[in-house]
Amino acid sequence: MPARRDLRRRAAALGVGAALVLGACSPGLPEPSPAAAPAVPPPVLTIDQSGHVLGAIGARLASSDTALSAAGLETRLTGPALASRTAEYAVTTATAGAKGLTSLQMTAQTLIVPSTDTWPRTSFVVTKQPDDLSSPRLLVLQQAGPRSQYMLWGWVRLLPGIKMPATAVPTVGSTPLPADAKGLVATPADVVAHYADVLFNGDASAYAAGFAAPDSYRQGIASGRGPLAKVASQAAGTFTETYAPVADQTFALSTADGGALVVGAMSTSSALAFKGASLPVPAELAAVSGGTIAPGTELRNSLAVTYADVIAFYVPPAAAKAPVTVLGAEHIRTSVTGS
Amino acid sequence: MSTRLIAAVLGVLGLAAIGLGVASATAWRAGDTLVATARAGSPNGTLVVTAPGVLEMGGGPVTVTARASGATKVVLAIGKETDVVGWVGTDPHTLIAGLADGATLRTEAVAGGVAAPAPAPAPDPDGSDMWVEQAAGKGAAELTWTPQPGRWSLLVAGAGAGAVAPTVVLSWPQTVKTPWLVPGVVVGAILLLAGLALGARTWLGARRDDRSVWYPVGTDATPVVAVAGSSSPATGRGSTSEQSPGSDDAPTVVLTRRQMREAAASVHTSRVSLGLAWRLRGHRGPDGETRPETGSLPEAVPPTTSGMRPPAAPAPVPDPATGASPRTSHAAATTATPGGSRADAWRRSWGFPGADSSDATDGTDGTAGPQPPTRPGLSGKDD
Repeated sequence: MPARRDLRRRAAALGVGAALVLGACSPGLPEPSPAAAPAVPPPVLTIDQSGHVLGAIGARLASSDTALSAAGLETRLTGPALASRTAEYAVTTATAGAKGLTSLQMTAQTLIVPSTDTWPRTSFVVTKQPDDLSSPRLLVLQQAGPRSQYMLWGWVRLLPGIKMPATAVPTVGSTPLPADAKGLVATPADVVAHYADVLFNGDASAYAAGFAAPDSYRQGIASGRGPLAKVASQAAGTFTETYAPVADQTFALSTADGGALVVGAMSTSSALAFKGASLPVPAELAAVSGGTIAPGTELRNSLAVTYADVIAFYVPPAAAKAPVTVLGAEHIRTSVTGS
Repeated sequence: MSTRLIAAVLGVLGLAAIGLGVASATAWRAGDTLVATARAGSPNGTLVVTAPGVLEMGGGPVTVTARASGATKVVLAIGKETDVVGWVGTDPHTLIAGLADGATLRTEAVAGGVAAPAPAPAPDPDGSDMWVEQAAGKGAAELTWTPQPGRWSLLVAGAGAGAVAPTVVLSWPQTVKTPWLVPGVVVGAILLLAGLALGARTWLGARRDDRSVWYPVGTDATPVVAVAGSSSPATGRGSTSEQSPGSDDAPTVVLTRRQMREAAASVHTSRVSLGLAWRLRGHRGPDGETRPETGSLPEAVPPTTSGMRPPAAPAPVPDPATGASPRTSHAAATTATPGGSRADAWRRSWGFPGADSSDATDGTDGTAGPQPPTRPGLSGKDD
């Protein structure tokens, strides 16, 4: 009977095999298999999204520009840009268009997009040349928090003759740098502070050597002080102008060579004090006084003007031992007080 | 016995495997779309978020549909995982982590990180710059998302006053495979054949065991013919060859024509009148006549005539002279006819002794033959 027992064993094995085959008869459910989290976060915005953001800001600006009303502007503008544009509307209204608005072209020439997954997020955009053939703008777009929209934080007019440093393509993204980032010839915060000192002290500043040959903005600021200083001297008064970085309003993105594009906000305060003279306030100044000064009012004592400044720098890497270059700046009068 | 049981079980298993395989490709075949639903509980806020990879787990473009009761604004948004997570922040929400079964999404309630109550109007993610795809609608919204590289999440929100978390339905087109059809049928067929083979083997084995009680039976084509004259009853010439009832149990022998010829020839050659009795049941002669059931060797046939010309016996007539039974009288009538004189005639012509002497011959030859009880009319009886 060994043959029969062997047969039985074989049959039993067959049965067990069949049971196993049938038992395994349940197709598995698909499981999520996400891509691995990248070591470097992706750019915060795609090119399309950046275009969408620029379009939204442009639409907001267009409607507000038409109405010359700042109402609703805060949905897409913030910081120096909001203050500047609001002032411009007032000035334009007061001067009946004699003093126009800063032309802002919302078509990108270069996108400099940060790679980050935290907020705030700041990206830079070099626009195409505006229709008035003024220099291209460097726009600063910022998303303060996850539930905020991207807003135009500020813009600068690129100075004539400057050369933008190479930056990473927007599909790769640039690394955002903190205000105290190391590895640069100076930290972004220090760059802004040093430049303010240079503006104030000119070549006498200890930091003057840290910047490239006097840029056109610095020259313009220095030359702008002249008339006011002359007025002050004529009226036995004083004229002072101070430049101060705005705290926590410095943003930096890395460039391809390890340097940084730094954009900082500054506040310029011009104070004129005089005696024995009267100073009729022009309309464009009265417009930004917030109603405290009627147009044509003659000031007898003082005039204080505040400007919102945005200045863009190229900060080379520390190893380059090269001076910081001012790429562009904007300087818009935002408030006037006087008596 | 157990082998038969195993054979039966194998057969049943085989049929079951075939049936299951076919059913998996027909009745149980999955639909062309994989649709899964998630119902979020209201306590978990108004937001529903998918974990990265959930949108892509169906393998194709996913169609997202969300519905909420009433006038709730339903917003669908797809963005990078970090953006969605950042947008949701510390709000309580429902996380879709995968599939619970073929039609239900596995959800996890995520409590808010901050105990602060949710703001009265539910947060509305509609229109954020971060979303790659978005859709919104009153009460329902739908969008389609084609998988892209990266980690993407879906954010579903019910927005507005009194909003509730929408019900989310994800559906993917799917290529339905029937992976169990061929294996099921093949394995089932193998099992079935194995069972059949086992059963057949068992059955044949039983048959083989029974074979020992069977014996080969050979049949001889040649009938055995008793040698003429050896034991056959010889009656006197012209006597009937009727057999006694006791000889009925003798095997019926059917002679071939040749045997008949030979038998007849032997009669002639031996010049012995044979009273060989034959039983020719229903045998038809060559001339189509039905032979009498009981007959005698034709005596009136001339020697030149071969064959079995039946004796031209007259119709039997019961002998009124005797009070014998019809059977007996029949037998007697067979011979107690004028034919008897004819027989005497050919005997004489062949030089045999006369009718009286024939009795002696009969007496010698027909020792074993039964004597008819009465032989009326026979001349030989006179001795």
